[in-house]
Amino acid sequence: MRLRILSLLIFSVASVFSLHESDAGVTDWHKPLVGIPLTHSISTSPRFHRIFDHKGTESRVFVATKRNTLASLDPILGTIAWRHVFDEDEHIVHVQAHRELIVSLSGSGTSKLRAHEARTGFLLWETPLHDSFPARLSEPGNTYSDLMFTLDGEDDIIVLSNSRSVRRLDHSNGNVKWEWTPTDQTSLNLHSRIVASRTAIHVIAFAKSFASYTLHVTTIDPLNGKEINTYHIPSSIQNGISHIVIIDRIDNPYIAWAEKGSIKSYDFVTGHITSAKEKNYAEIIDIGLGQQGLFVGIQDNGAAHIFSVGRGQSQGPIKIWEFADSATTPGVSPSIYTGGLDKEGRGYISRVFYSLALQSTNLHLFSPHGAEGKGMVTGFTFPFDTNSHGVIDHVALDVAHPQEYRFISRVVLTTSTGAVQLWQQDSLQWTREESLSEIKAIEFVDLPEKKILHSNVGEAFAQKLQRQVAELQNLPSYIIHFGTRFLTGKYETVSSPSDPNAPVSLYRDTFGFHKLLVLLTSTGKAFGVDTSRGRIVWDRILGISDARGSSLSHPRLLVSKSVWDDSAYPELLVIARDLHKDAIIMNRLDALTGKLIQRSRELQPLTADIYFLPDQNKTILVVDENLKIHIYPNNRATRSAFSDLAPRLHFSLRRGAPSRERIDGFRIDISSLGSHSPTVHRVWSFAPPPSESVQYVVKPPRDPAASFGKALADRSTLYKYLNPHVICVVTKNTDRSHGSVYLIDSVTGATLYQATVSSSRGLQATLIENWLVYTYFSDETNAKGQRIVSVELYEGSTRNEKTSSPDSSSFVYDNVRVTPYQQSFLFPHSVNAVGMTTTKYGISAKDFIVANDKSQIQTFSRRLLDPRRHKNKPSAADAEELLTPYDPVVGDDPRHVLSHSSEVAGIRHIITSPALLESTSLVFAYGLDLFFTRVAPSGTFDVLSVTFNKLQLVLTVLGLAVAILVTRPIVQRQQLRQRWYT
Amino acid sequence: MPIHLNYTQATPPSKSLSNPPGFTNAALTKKVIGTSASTAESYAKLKGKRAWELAISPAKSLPMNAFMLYMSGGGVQIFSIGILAMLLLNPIKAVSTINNAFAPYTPSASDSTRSSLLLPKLTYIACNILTLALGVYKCHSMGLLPTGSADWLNFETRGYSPEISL
Repeated sequence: MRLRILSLLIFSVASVFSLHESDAGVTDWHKPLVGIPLTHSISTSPRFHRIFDHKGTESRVFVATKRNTLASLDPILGTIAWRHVFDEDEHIVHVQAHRELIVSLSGSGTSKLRAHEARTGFLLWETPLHDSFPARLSEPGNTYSDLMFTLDGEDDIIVLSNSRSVRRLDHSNGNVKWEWTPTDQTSLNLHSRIVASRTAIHVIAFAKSFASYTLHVTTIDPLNGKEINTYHIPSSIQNGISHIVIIDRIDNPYIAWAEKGSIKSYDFVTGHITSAKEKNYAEIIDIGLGQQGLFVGIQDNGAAHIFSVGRGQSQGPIKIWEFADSATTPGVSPSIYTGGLDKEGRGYISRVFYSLALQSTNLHLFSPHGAEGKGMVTGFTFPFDTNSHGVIDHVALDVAHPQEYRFISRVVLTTSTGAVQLWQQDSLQWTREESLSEIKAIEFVDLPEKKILHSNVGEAFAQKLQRQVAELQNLPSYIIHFGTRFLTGKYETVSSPSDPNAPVSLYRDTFGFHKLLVLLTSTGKAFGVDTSRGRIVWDRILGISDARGSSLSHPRLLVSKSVWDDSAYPELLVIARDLHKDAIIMNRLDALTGKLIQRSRELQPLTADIYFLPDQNKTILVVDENLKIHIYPNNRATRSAFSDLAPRLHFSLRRGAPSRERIDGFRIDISSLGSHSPTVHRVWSFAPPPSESVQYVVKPPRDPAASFGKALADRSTLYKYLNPHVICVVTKNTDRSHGSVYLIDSVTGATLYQATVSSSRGLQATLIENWLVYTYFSDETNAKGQRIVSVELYEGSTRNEKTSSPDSSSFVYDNVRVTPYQQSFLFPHSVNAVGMTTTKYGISAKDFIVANDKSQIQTFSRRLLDPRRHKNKPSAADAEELLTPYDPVVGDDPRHVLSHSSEVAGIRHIITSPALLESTSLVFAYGLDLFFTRVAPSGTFDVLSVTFNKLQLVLTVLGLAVAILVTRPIVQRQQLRQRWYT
Repeated sequence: MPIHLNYTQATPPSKSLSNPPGFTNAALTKKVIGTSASTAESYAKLKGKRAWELAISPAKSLPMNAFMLYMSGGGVQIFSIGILAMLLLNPIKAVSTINNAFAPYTPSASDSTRSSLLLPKLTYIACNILTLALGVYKCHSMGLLPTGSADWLNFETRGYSPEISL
């Protein structure tokens, strides 16, 4: 019992070290993100929404993103007002805002309908519509669902989901009032839109006819969901399903489409089809102003005409405006048309385009009611930075109309680099770099030391004397400064708060906490982020990103020169496939400024992997898919270095079909060394059992091991298995019922450890030194829950047995003699990402870091996960080793939480980097949010504590010195007297 | 005429001086003459005896030392370490000053059995070694002796693997 209390005390002390409340926001930072907004469909694209309630009017920007997040942004500050991160596989299909309600349809097969309070994001209700079986039709930008509010005063929700069923739900509680499914189950009609009028709900389906689609309408009673009738609208729509516009005016709804160059509309009340007078229309664009009866028609030459339906006496579509010079011309980028509203609910249409000739981005705003109802266009240019944000993908518009002939527009731009910007007229209000939620490659870059250089070389003696005499005037102030500094001890502490507004200095701090994080995102943009406050220091577009995604795939980021290599400034190398040009591109970047030093593009087979040759020059070896090796830079020195090391080199690659991946081990063909690109041959192949496929490979960091063994209480040693070639391979069963983890010697291919667990969600594994930790959600029927398994590998079969694994050859028999110690623990939360702390010399203990589904980052000490903890009564030896009795549950202690109260959502990866202090490790978690902190797993043993009172120490020493000075003559005099008078 | 009192001689310089009252000359001479040879012999024997006593004295205090060590416990504290230091240093000190210790018992130059101190000295050393051994044993039981492989773990080095995995 006493032992238990003692060990608990030790745990708590250890964890208390890592966290102080005052450190929150000082030593760590958290950047909440929402993800890159979905812009391909009007049903999910960003939009402004005004909330009117008793508190007044509030404007919000709603976004649904690629990271399955529904968020509300504050248009003034650019911060997240609220957000909801949905499950990994729950894509947002439809978002509709109405008054104080925001309703979202999400999930595969549009399975879930949720209603949030628009102001606070509070979840009001959630209604499952289907089981989440594979959708009948699931494709990106699912157009087979629709969501609308009945505008009959009840504000109920009509939802079409899975292209079949239509439901009416009560807006206050989500109860289904009625449900309609087509009677003809075998019908090939794809129900895709709904139109509501006061008396009927029209479900519009696309019936595939020869080479085109015909509109098919089913009319439903809005009160009970009974089918009233079905009919066809004589139409032939060629270019797809998204090219219809619904004019959902409750009194008189229409549907408009483009057919053979003309724009037609169908009046649901009268049943008339009317065509516009003008011809040659290629497509029509829904700008979200259906309730205002407005849409845009694009002619074959690109000219944009604004149409209004049901305006005045006319029944059909009338062209009410033509944007001047909107026809496609070489010097102008394709225009983006958007609709927006003002406070009174009047519609506006904007056209945004980039003019090469003027080198500026223009916005033309059309207000149909302007100029006494004749319609007018206002416009301005704004300095959109296309060099750092790419091109504009999407525009959301909001207009203020303070007085006649005056329109103030606010636009939210979503760019191809994933940035979200708000412009008010021509001034930029804020930018959110949402591509940081999709990081593809990441590196920590060490910063150079600040050197104060005085170059007084070549100075004559007289000049030197003169300079020094001149500098003498600074002496008193220097002495005073030195004295105060010496006395008060104002030194840098580990938690020195840095001024948040100070400019970022790109120099290393005393403890090496300040580094630069270089991030490469999925949109092909690279960022330099400083670790002290999380500010973006530089950004650079490396690849063009368009609707198909980034042109850069499989990017690799390497620090080719670091400040430790006698280099003045660190340099980065970005190697990626350029999909557009089908080539490999190499970018050399200055890591501190992001400037491109060199860019080369070569046509060659795709890269399989990239390695550093372990020589002084950091030669790069690129292995291509044809198993040929390319050396960069290719010169005599690097070639000879490569030839020298070639007989000893081994590497492994993931190969094979995606569902049947295996690991192959290779050596370099010595006979091919003389050729231009040496070849390799396969030495071994690790094929997981049939029906298993390699998911990922974990390579442990090449950190120094401080100790080669573990000392036991009887002073015998368990020698750690520190084979530097061990890799961890995680596989998954193709039917997703179980996963396996393997430890493999990457030189010989020998399997050293293997475990198979039943888990449908896959395993997360991390490996450092001889310690493997993997975690999974167990699906076993009576033991469901998250498990953490801790495995430690030791040499030989018993204690004191030494096989010298770090330096013996992998081909020696001894090197496969390994004893794993393992123990499984229960964890109360599901785990999204795992990591392990690393320190400079590996002396400090290692902590296991977890990102859980409660949006927290937690650390667990290695001692807690020690696999040698056992269930027996603790012996004296265990007490000496501080080995606590086995407890199956790893508790949910709030002291383990690194992220304090901040909600760090959607984390997928955790990486660590050592600081200059041995005690401290820098931790960066990314995924959706970015979170950076530092931890001291063994306490900050190498820094003075904050409570250290230097003044007291100095005063004590001074006091003692004074006391000695005073008492010494007294004592001497007394001693003399004693000699004389006794 | 000044009178000089001479106390250095047993017999008065002249017979003219009478002996002090109660003094008998016979008592004095008889004793000196009668035991002169046997006294030297017994004195040497006594010395030898004392030398042996000194030689085995460390062994005599051994049980007491052992008891003290037992009582001081297995923990590393100031008392146990103090006793242990005493136990380890004293024998060494004693052995290094062995000649001084045995100096009073050195046989006089006239003694025929001059080499008789070698054995006590050897015994003395042996007994001190016993004490030392007790101290070392205590060190061992306290875990202060680097006997396990773990004690030498920090001095172990490993080279680099002959293979290089990229």
